[in-house]
Amino acid sequence: MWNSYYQKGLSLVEALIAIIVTSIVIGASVASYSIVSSTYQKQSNLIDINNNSRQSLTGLIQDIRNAGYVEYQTNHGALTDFISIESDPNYSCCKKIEVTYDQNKKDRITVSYFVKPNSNQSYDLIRSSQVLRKEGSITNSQPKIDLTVAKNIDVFQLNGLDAQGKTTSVNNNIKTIDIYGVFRSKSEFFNQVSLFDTVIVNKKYSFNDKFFRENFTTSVSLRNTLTASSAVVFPKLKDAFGREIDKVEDIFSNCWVFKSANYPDKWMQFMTRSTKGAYVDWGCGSNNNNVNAQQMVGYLSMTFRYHKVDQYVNVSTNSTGNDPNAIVIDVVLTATDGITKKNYSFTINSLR
Amino acid sequence: MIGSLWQKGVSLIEALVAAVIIGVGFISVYAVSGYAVKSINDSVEHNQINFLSNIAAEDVITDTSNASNYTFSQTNCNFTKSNITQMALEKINRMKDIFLLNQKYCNKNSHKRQINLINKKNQKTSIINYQHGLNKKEKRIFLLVE
Repeated sequence: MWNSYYQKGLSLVEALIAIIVTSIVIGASVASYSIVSSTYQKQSNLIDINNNSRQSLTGLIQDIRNAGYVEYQTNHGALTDFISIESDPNYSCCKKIEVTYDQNKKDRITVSYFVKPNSNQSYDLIRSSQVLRKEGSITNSQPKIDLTVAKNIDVFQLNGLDAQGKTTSVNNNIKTIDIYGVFRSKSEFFNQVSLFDTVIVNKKYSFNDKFFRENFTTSVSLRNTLTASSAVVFPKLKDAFGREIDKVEDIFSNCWVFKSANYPDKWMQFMTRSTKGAYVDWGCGSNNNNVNAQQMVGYLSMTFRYHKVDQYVNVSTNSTGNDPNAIVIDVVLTATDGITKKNYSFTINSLR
Repeated sequence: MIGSLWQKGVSLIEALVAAVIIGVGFISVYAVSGYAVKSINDSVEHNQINFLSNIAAEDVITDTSNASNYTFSQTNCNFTKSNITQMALEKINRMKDIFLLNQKYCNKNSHKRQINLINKKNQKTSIINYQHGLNKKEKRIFLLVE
């Protein structure tokens, strides 16, 4: 600027042009800032939906898969009603689910999922869990833990399917659960009102606002129940060494004999393992002189690791007189559909 | 600038070139922000389709002896099925409803999103094949059916 003799400063035109150019540049940067910031908003909304859906559904799937699991030699008793799905009486958008399973020998956990309205005119999905701890004769409930697993969920629906794949409202018949969730962005996403329509299990849900919504649907099958259909495959019984049991001698040679207060003379217990990892815990006893079938039934217990099976046990002797030289054990495994059955029959020729 | 005695300031050409460069910078910011939203949307979709294919996987896992029944090719939400068990029929029909619910998965040609479940008789594997997203990414899930 100082190299020119004549120039004293900027001319008015130059100054005006400079001001115009500068304001265009500033205007563009302000506009790009607002675009970048709205992009950031949209991204964080989408990431939010993604995280909420993945985190909550994965956890829910995990809990449903565990439902009905009974730990081998659990301190708790049998577990019969381990799943329940019901309509939420307070919020028509959503359902509630409750599952129970063993975490280990002493802890049995009950987990429920339900929604709670939030300040954002939507709902939060809550996982509420409580552990029942049983050690020896002492049973106590651990504190309840409530966890918000997803924010801004507009619809949370569950549909139970029975063994034939049909929708069922009877909790004990549920074999598969379809999970439907409509997740919503935390803040307004669109510049204009946009319609989101969806039909979930014959019910229409319609939203007309500026929020972004996405449907997430998945399905989970219960692991601790037999699939009752023509395709029911019962696990083959195996002994503790993994050998299939078809003759009683096999069982007999692998049993542990110990005395019991109720059966002071002869008492034996053996553990078998089925092909699919199912543990079958058997105990059978004899008071030497005669076998009381009813008493024995009480001591025949089964814990299937992956399948829940009703059992009907009949024990009889095939000898006359007081000293049985053989015990016949008939076991009928009945699948939870109450129809499909499988017979197992073992004969114990002599007791040690 | 100082080298020339006659030059009083920035020439118009120089100013225009500078303006174009700055303009390109701003346009690329717009483009990148649009692409960023699309990519994340893609990730949401990926997540969504993962959950959807889980439905097919669970159905096969729980009915392994009839796995071949669950073969379907999803184009315009028409499922090919013949000679299958009642259970498979119910489940596939309900799967169809679910795909219809997620409308965008129903039109293979316009959206290039699809889920195919390939089960061959007497073979112990089951393949869930799906395509999605901007670059028509393909993903396959193999299940071992015993």
